[in-house]
Amino acid sequence: MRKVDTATGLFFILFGLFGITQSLGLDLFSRGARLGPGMYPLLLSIAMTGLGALLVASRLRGEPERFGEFHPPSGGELTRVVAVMAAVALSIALLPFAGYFLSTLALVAALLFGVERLRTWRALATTLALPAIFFLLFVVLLRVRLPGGIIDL
Amino acid sequence: MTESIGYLIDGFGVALTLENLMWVFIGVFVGTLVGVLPGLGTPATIAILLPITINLSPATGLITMAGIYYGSKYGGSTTSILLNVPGESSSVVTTIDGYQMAKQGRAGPALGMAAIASFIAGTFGVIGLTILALPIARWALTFGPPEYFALVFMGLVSIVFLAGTSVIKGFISAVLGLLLATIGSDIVSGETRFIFGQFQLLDGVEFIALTIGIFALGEVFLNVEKPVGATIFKVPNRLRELLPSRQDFMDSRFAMAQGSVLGFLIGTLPGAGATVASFLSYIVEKRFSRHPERFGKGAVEGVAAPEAANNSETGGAMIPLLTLGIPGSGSTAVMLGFLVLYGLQPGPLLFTERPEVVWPVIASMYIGNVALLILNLPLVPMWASILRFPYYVIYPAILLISVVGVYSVHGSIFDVWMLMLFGVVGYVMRKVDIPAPPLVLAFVLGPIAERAFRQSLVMSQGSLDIFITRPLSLALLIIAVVLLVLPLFGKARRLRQNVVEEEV
Repeated sequence: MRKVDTATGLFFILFGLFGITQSLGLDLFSRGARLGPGMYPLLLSIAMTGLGALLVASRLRGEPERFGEFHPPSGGELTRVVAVMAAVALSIALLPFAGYFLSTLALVAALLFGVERLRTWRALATTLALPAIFFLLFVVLLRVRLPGGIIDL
Repeated sequence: MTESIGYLIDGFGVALTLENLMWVFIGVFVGTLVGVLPGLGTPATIAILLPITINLSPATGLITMAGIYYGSKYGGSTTSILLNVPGESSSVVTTIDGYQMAKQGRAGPALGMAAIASFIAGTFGVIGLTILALPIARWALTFGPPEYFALVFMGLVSIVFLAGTSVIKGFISAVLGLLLATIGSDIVSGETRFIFGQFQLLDGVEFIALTIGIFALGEVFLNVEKPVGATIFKVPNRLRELLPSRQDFMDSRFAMAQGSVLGFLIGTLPGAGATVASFLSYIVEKRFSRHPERFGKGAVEGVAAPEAANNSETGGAMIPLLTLGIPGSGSTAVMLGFLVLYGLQPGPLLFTERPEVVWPVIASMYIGNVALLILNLPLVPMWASILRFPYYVIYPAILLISVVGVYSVHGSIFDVWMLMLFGVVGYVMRKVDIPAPPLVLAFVLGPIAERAFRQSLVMSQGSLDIFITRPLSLALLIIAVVLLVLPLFGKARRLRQNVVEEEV
């Protein structure tokens, strides 16, 4: 965990520095010596840089075992997570064009048949039932306005 | 006191209409149903169920929300006991003894004790709210911008104090939340900040997208690392012996009493929250028990104490929310957003200007507690059976509900992309062990802090002295500094380490 924490600290130092440069592009003071829109985020960005540095310093100083163990995802685990994320992203991209029902149908199909690699009737039933149940619950019963997509046509 | 009771009777008059009673029961029912789903804590549950309530009148909508709040809290403890899967962070400590009881074939008494402790402590919390809300509201009228800033500052410090395994990481999470809250139009000048050409960010980052992304999607992404199959949940088949025995009650008397008081007191502190309340209550119970060796091995008081604190906190948390406009937890932060959606400004004037809204809500909390008990004791086997579904059915359902929950707020695809982004952020935060609650609370408290800070400096013509020359502001800042410095020394440091060890 020590190396991960150090890397995390370095990331937040950079994040804070980015915030500082962006804040300096805004007015720090406005009329009548009042605080401008840039001052508050500038202070926060400085604090973030300091905290990042503090995290790095504390990890470099202490014994490695004090900070516990980091369990990185294996190649297979990372593939699964990225695949689920990609399926969700694809479904969101489809949402305005295909509509809620079809895009969620595609999402559930991708998760069950693509990620989980299920080949059962139960998986097929779930793929069809889940989007239908949510469509009925939210669109028909609760009248939530969701993108209709090509179903609207 | 007499005035409060008079208002409360009027409140019951409104809350006990057939329509509102129906919505309380629906709120408790649906709240428990969604709260049972792992990965969805109380804040996400409230956020997701927002569409159900948005078209109701303010009083009815808030009454439904109160039901959802109680229901989702109870739902979270159900999975903790049956499956060792806490539905939310405040239910984590319930797993320690609750799951052990379930493994010993005592799932019924554990679930029953959780429901009864929740009912008793929840009612205690609402009584506290009834008695103390008006005095605190009047006292709150003396609050100016410097006091508000000092209060929010104290809230931020106190949440970080017990936020996770590392104080530095807790602070990083909180500052990240504060920075995210600065995105959009400046609250004073109207100038845009950090929107990078995205006009959808003019109103800032959508809170619901941030909450559901970090809490729900982040949890799903973490859970799907390993092939999920059907083995992630084990539901016991026999739940016949539902009610705790007389001995269980005797063993849990002190636990319920101290959990009720501690939970309420911690709830009134902005930023402390149900998680802290449940952990501290468990630790107190264990420290003062005649048989501390039983804890962790299925002690019924190990379930009663955190469940009592978790639910009593609800009444306490409503005090800073309704009287000061300061959310005490992630859940009340969502409720604050809900009040604002209805055009209600939480604060001391809410009690005098909108009593027709506030008191029915408080009355409905009493009713919600009763509804919780009536509905959930007989329905425990049904709640448990939902989890018989394999996780490959549950997690797509969580993803689908999340998309609806976020899209329905503004009808914005951009917000759904933000949901995805915050889902990834939530996953990474879990992997690198950065706690999410400080981020969410800081995101809510950030604009309040900034506004109060800048207003204070306008009042003092730019001098920071205003924060230390006003007694209340000074007192709050001293408390905040003490909380900040305390972990560095002796017993307090060990106390925090003990809390963290229990948490891990």
